Amino acid sequence: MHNVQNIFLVARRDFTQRIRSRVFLISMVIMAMLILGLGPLMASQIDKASAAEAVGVIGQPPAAAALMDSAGALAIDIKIVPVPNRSKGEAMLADGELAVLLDGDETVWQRSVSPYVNAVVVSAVQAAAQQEAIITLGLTDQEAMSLLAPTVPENVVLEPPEDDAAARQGLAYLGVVVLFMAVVLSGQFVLLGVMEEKSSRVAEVVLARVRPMQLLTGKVIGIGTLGLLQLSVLGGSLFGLTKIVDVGSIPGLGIWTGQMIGSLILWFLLGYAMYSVLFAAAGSLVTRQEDVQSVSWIPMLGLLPGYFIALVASEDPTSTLTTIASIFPISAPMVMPVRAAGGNVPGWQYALAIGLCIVTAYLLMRLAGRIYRGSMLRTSKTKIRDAWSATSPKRARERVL
Amino acid sequence: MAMKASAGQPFWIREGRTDPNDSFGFDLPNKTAAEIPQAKPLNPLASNHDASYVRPMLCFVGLTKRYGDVVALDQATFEAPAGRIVGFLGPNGAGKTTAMRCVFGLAQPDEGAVTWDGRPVDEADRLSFGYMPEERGMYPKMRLNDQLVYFGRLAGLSPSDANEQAGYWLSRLGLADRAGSKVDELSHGNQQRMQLAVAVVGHPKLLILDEPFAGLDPLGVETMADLLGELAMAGTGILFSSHQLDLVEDICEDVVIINQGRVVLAGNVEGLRSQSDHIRVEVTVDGHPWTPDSPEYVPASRSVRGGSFIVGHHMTMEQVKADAERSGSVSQFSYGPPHLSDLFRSAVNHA
Repeated sequence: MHNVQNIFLVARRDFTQRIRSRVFLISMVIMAMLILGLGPLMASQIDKASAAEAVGVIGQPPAAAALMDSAGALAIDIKIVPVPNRSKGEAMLADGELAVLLDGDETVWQRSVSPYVNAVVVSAVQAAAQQEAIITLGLTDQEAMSLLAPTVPENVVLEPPEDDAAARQGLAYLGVVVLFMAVVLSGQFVLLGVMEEKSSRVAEVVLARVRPMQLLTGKVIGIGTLGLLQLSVLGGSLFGLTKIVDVGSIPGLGIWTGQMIGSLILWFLLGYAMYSVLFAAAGSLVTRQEDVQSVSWIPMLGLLPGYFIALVASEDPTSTLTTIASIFPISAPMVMPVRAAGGNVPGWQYALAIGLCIVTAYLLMRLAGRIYRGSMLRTSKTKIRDAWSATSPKRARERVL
Repeated sequence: MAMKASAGQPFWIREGRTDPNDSFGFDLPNKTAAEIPQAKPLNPLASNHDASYVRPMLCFVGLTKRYGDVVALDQATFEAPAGRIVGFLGPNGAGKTTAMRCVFGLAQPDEGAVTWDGRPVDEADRLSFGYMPEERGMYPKMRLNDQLVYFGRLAGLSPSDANEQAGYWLSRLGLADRAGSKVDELSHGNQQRMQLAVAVVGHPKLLILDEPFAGLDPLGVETMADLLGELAMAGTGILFSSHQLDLVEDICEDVVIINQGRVVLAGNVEGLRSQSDHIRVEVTVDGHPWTPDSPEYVPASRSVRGGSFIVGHHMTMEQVKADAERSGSVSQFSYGPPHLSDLFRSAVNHA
């Protein structure tokens, strides 16, 4: 009972001390604002991508009237911009306001000829010429129609892409990055928090009343709760985003449902449980900010390969590599939610991945706990080997007297 | 009672001691070491002053701790009874901090045990112990009040008790108006007070203080000494290490001196001094400190100006005076039991 109380007290201190800090609150607000601002930005990007090509027209050449028709037939989006004269038109070309300038028989391009726009213009010019010929030849309407509206072949696509495959892939990629960042950021908090306790020597006062593993567990839980809160704000903002902007205009956004966010949180917890203790062990070895770099590799040793495997796997959510990576505990927290977002993960694989993560987290906790116990009460930078052997007295060579 | 500052002083003159940060005996040149008579070795557990010994509570029994080839504690055995102030002395590296860490399980003894009330100290006991480590430690960015409440809760107090005690100790130590400040905004002296508050929050039965007086100004020393006296009166056992021997002599009833991990002298301060078979004499001849030429006179500890010597009990004061008069006219002559620093030096040098 007292164990639980101590862990709770430590966790609560770590949580409240951090959440009270102005830096933390500001960073949370900025994060939420960035995401909410991301929606309109993405929407505007999509607008830009699908923006109509502007065709500048001087005067009223016969082809101008046929431009919209031929663009429609070729499924290319254009708009007609009346231009007063050639020099003004060239200026607009230079500014990128026009894709092409239609001046009598000439089509003027700024740098290169756009084949799509050119096709529209050519077909419009030809249509105008045909129109003129029809009038000159005195053809009947029926003859003219058969000449002007030839049969259009029907398009048959043999392998149509899945409805939102590209969106899902992008989403998978985003999920990997978000999970990696969330675990690293919270882990970094743990590392610095442990280092603060060691360097301020408060560890000795606390450890006179609390067992090392209680202090370690409490810290990991306290900061983990904070990370969870951050992730919830992030997920909540994304969820809010789907409400603010038109989901249809941003492919994949609609998938950011509560289910997706729930899975993100579950896998964050599992990933954090595995890696946070390694961050804690790393933090217990050093006392100065300058030395942090020299121990960060300890958690990164597992996290970075996992991250890269996850990135590769997110390219193809159905490959064998992805299947293996989604169960292998080092990469599972980053790959499994990605795979699950695509659906079709057998229940036993999902459960196995969770089970393996829990077992790995326990083993890492034992490993990291030993290093932590062996180094927290030393007053200076500690080598892993010394920290490791500190708990086996035969080999210990402490200088703490 | 707990304080004995003025007891037994009248018949000899003490030199002025001004610098409490002075370091003593152990770093004096060794050339006189062999000549200093050894204090009577005492069995640390044999109470040489039965009447004054209250219930022995915290006992270090045959404590041995090795770090590789370094022996930090070597069969150390001594005790710190409740309601008494015990000074824990020894040169740097003698094993004081290791012994204190063993009380809190921060170091695991290879042999022996620390017992409280006759049983090995367990986790529940430790909650009723207060600890001030040598390396001061607090959360630098945490407000004083929050910090005290936190440590009070860790000591097992209920939330309301922890709040109440935090408030009490902050005002008792003159930090009430800084309750909302962070530790790293405090002056050095206030940080020391805060560290003491962290140790005493929860009204521990036993206080273990590692160098509580180090770095305190004279007023801080007085506040700390008063508080320790008060706590001891209220029944708290206090064991503190220090290098400030005059302070220890003033504050403590009992001392334990260890060297290289072994207890070399332990007992009641007055008892140890009065039972010593040596006498400290201070002689001024022709207005100057006397310089005797006989090897019988061993310069006393901290006799920087000269004129203070330790002599064996076999010498009578008449003999000493006669020796001095051969050098000139004796303008001042005083004698008394050796100081704690003399006992310390001889105990440590002969270990």
